[in-house]
Amino acid sequence: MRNPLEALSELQSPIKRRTILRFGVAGIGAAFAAPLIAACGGDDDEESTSPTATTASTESGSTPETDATAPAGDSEATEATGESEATESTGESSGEEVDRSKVGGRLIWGRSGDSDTLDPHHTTASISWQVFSQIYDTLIGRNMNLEFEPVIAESYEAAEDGLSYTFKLREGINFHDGTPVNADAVKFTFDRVTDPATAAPSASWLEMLDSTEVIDEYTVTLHLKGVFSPLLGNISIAYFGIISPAAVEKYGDDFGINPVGSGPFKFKEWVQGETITLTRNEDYVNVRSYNDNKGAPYLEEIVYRNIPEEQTQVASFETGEINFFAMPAQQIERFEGQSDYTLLKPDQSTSISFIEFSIVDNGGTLEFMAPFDDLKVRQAVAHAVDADTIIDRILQGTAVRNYGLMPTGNWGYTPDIEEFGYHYDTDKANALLDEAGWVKNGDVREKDGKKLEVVFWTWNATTQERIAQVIQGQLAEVGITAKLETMEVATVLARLAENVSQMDLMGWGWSESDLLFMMTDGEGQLGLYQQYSPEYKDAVVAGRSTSDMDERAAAYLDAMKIALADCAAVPLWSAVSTWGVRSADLKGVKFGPQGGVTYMDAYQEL
Amino acid sequence: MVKFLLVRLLGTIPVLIGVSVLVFAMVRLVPGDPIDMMFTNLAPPSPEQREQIRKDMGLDKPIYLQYTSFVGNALRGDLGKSYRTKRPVSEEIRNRLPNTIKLTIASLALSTLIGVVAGVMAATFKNTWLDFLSMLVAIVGVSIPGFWLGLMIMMLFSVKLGWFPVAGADTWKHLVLPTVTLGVLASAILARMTRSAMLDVLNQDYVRTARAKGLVEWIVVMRHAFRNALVPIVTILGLQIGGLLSGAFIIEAVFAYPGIGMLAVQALANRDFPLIQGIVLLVAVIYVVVNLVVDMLYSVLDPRVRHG
Repeated sequence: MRNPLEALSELQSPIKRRTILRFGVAGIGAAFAAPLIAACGGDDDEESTSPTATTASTESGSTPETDATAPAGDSEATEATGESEATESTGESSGEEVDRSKVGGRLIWGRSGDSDTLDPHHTTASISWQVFSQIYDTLIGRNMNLEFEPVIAESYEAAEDGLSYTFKLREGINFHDGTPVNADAVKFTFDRVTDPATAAPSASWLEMLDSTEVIDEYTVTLHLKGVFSPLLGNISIAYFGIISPAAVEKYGDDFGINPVGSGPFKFKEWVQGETITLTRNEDYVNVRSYNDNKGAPYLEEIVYRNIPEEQTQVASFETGEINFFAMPAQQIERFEGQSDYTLLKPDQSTSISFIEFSIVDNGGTLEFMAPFDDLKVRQAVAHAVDADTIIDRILQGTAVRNYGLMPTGNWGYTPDIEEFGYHYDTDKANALLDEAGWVKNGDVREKDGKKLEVVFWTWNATTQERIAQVIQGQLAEVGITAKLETMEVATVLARLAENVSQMDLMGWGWSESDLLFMMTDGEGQLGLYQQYSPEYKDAVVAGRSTSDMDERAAAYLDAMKIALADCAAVPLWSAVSTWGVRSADLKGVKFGPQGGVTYMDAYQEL
Repeated sequence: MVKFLLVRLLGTIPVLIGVSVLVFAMVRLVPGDPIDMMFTNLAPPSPEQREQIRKDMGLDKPIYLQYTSFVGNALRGDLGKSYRTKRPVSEEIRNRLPNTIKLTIASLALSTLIGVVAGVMAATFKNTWLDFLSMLVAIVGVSIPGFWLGLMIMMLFSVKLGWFPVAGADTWKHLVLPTVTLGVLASAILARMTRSAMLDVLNQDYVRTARAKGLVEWIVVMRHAFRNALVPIVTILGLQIGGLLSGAFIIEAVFAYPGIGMLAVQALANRDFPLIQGIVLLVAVIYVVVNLVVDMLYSVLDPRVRHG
């Protein structure tokens, strides 16, 4: 099954801990502006080329996002997701078997940056994930309804007590080097990730994994330290794809430039800083429910090309030097409706963009930093910001309005959250500020001789800055003076905990709903929120410690409601990347679950 | 002559020391812990890991020791490892440098050809339409941002006409558009400088003497005037190499041409400090060396320099 994270932008890749996640999201923003973290865009966007979520940075240039209109979450909403337009495809492939003698070709993907390593245990960069998610298959994946489905595993079973999961592997799968995919390889993979000597940045996503036990050649059991329901979602991401033990043995530290897995594409060549080429795995059997193609990929090759400048990507797209890339928002209008090109706009995203307020330690008790220590002032900000206009005018529709903190493409999202959210209403914002004692004096509000002025941070990617400027203007409308300061993504993230700014514009992305726990379990701003609100903590802890899906959904809804009642952050939107496909010569590229792109049905006519 | 060279060579030493101090300080002056920068895209290190890295990188030592070991390593060609790819910086630079050298030489040749010819013509035919046209083009050339010109050239020759590829460095065709962009930009200033140097010389007494001797005009221009105008032109050419290198930073990124310019742009975006440090150091050294060569050329071109 396809990696659900595909939807994330490069920068936005799923990364653990707050900094990483934040950074990733930041990447999104960058993508818009111009790309690299990793970043991303003009030059701002260096990191944003990948498909994914968009939030903000640089990542580099790289970053697309997904956005969603479709509800992805709780049981009732799930169905809608499955049928949503996310399944729209560029080709006419639906349902029919394509004649293999007439298809093949290359998908050439223009990205603002190059991967750092293709060893999934030594990186969390989404720009690397974009490549190795085609090389490594995971035990399980998700279907279009976001339910788990087998990939390498034929079936799996959770123990009654929720403390272990047993996977029965499909027999007869081989790694690209010809060695068999068996229980030993699964144990080798998980042991390597969790071995402190590996220092895998992704190891923290498996911190609840106690041990991996080989039952027989094709049966393997994962034992947990405690009930941890995000485990299945986490291991369905390619960071935990099964790797070839023989290849790790053979290449040692160079495994990252000689990756061997059992996925649909094999590694062929890497010209550092320029291109990475993958070639079709002829023996591949595809079991993903959302692909029509059940055999090997039709495409002969996928080529990832490093093209840092957004304008250059667009020109290469027009000349056909590339036939697939994350379309910059400002270019969408130009390519829309042209018969040679198709724009793929997912309606689901695993990212969330929001305004957060700084939480500080005042002699043992946590409080929001003044003037936001007054709930009414935070709520005034929430009512003063017109997110719909920003989505429309600046993001060019590449984001879906989201009133809560759960990304639209994550299990646990529900559109019902709108009723608990804050809507644009300047009258209400003004009334709240009046009630809080901030009196209008000309254009500015004052209280006890102090002006209502706050420091507002975000990073310096073009789109991100434009969004922040519009927010600044909207706050000025109700008499709040926000002093906007921007700096590089990494600097913003590193300095947030200094509490210089009262508020900042931030983004996060992760495809497991445990995101609500992860982003409130760190330092500074929303990272301190679990400490600030024990009720919220109880809710998100409940969400990760029960395997009953209905209970999980209820817990996450509670958590979102608590955060909204506190106005701990102002959720704005889930950003989506828009993908440009030269459909004149590349067909069948379409969406998998969570706004991710799938290439199994893609082909060029020969 | 030997003394002159020796003095010049010794003169580069304080410059190189200054450069190394600046490059060294650059990384240390950036706000934030370098270790945090290393982990921006990764899970933050544990306190023990942090200590270990601090030790490995020598960050626990006094600052002057850090500096001397930085210089010592750099002299041995060891510029550290890229934060991002974990490969040696010297290797990353070595992979990309040939592409940039190719581009710099090609565009230097092109700009010299265009610039010098246009400048000499403009001076020789002063106040004619030829003069006005070349200078008009030169003014436009000096004023155009390289980034914009590169995109326009790309739109015309790649997207509209389809003659050359947009991005990459696989064939000679990939070299054409970046070379033209850089060459045209550099030739503008060269044309203006050549023109004024030539005008200056053409008004000298010895040129009047040469003409009075009845020499053919082109011999007067080429042998008597141009030879003497070369000193300022060579100075500009030397500066141009520096300009072309920095221009390459932008133009390489525009054409996704994998040289050290594109490497630098992406290293900056990734905050890959060892890599940035290595590239800045390399470019600074090239600059110093080119200036040294220019100074030596003076003495070849103008015997007065030798004695001065």
